[in-house]
Amino acid sequence: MSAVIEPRFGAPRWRAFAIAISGPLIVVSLWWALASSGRFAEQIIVPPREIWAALVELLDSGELWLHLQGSFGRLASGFALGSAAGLAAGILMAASRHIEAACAPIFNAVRQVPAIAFIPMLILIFGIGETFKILIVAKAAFFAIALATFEGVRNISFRELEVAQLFKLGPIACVRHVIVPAALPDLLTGIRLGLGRAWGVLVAAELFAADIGIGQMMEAGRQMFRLDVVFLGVIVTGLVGYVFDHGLQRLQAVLTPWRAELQR
Amino acid sequence: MRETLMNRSVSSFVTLLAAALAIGAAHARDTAKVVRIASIGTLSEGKVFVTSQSTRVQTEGWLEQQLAKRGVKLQWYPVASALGGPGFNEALASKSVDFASYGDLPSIIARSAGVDIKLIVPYGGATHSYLIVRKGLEARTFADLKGKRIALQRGRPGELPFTRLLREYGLKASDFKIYNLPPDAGKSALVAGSVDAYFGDPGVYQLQDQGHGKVIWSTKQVPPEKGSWNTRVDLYARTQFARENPELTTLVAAAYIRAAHWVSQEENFDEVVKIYARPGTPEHVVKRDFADQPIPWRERWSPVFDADLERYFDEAISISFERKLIRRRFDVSELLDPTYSRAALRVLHLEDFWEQPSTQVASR
Repeated sequence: MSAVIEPRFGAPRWRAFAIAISGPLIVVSLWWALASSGRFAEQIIVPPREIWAALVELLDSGELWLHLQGSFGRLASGFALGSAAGLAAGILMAASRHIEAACAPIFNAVRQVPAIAFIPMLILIFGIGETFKILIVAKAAFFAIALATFEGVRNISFRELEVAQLFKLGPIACVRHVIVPAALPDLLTGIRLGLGRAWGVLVAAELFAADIGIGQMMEAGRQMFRLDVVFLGVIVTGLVGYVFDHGLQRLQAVLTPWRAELQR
Repeated sequence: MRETLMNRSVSSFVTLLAAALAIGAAHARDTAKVVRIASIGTLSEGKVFVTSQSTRVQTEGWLEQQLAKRGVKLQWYPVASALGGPGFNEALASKSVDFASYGDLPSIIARSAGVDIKLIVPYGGATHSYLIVRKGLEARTFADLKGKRIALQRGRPGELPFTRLLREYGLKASDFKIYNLPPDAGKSALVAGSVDAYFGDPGVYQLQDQGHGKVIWSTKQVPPEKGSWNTRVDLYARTQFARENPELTTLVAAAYIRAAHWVSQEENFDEVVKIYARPGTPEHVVKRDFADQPIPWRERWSPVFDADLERYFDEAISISFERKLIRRRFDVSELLDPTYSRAALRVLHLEDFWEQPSTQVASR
């Protein structure tokens, strides 16, 4: 992905930047044209300046931070839970054919069900509090990371494991010094995928029920007929997802430079 | 006697045309071929079932006939109860409907956002709001709930009495954890113990009967000098539609006034209870909600614009602005338009049926 946008053959940075922002600029211009065409009520297709005003208003009142804090808190705990469990499950399945055979059917079946489809069931069991939202984030993270870990570990060559045996590494040391580094590229891809999914599903869960959170900000925005706030929520959700993805991409480039080279 | 008068007025409803034309003198003739009315309702087996006053308008069939005579179709636009306000406001803003029978706070929110609508027939403030706390929670007053989780649907009429209650206690919404949930989900959350309290509709009586909680406050406790805190449902029109189609608008207003006339007669009480019980609320709950009201039955449904109505909306707009439920403050005259109701009352010869307003809303 990054290879396409990043400057090549010494092209000036400003040019790359200009190309990168041309997309968003075109979208905003089209939107502005649509909003001022008079074909839609301005309360429904809100003009960009109104969304900007909503941003300023919610930043001033501190409301936006409050909602972001709520969402990030849930994301952090749910993602930590889901990725730890996913890492463990991925390694176990890759390490043992029996475990893999026993888990594969249910793993693959549940993996196919979109996390959002679990929301009503989880609400019935755990109520509308924090638990269901953290679990839904954990579910989204778990499968992406378990699968990536599984692939990464399974692809470790026998020779590397033989070396580990030769050095008489214990199971934890083996995971830390051999398995994790070897599986790191796949794992990072899994984390990127998992974090993106977890963030998306969290916002959806907050639309259902939450006291605070970006999703709830949008839901209340619709109830209060503040579609500027709804649009702002959409933009913030997208930006946060973009920042996560871009950050992890950078991290990938730092931690596994050979991989980034390969992509070029 | 009254009925015969009404019937006579129906057969000679041509007079309406004259009255309506006087209103919209600038416009030669109504051009709309369809009248679309939004109301809380459901679509079942291809048929729309609407609620409250609209039910009577629908079952009476008078409006449909009157419109048919003029080559105009009547279309009901149901809005799911769980969605409420946004369903109406989005439909009005995008001109998908011409009339809406809906609540006070959503309409104030719409008007504040610049959606050009007018209240053309008041139905009277009918419904109380209730505060129920979950079983096992020691809370005797609203203030005891500070820091607790309360289910309340944002932007619904119930948020107005809730906001007034906040002001009464010198509290802010942020002193509580507000869960923005539709009424059914909010009540389920209370039963499950996911929230500590629920603020909203009379359905809470049922929860109390089943031992899930205790009603600790309701708008019935509001002293009369503070005015009515009841949530209102009234008939609104899109201003542009009303201006371009004054005759049809007066006709729709007349249909809702006929419904109010019917509802106001004590002998129809049981039927009225049935209508209000239709959305899934048991009849005994509706009867308890209707009980303990100081205003006589007939006056409760008065479609007459009076000083109390004006004061009610004036205060509602003020507190909504003060508490940041709306961004723009506006004058009550931007929302209330008694023209069509007055014309219809005259044609139906019902000017004296409800008590005359103490102070008339200034004519425009």
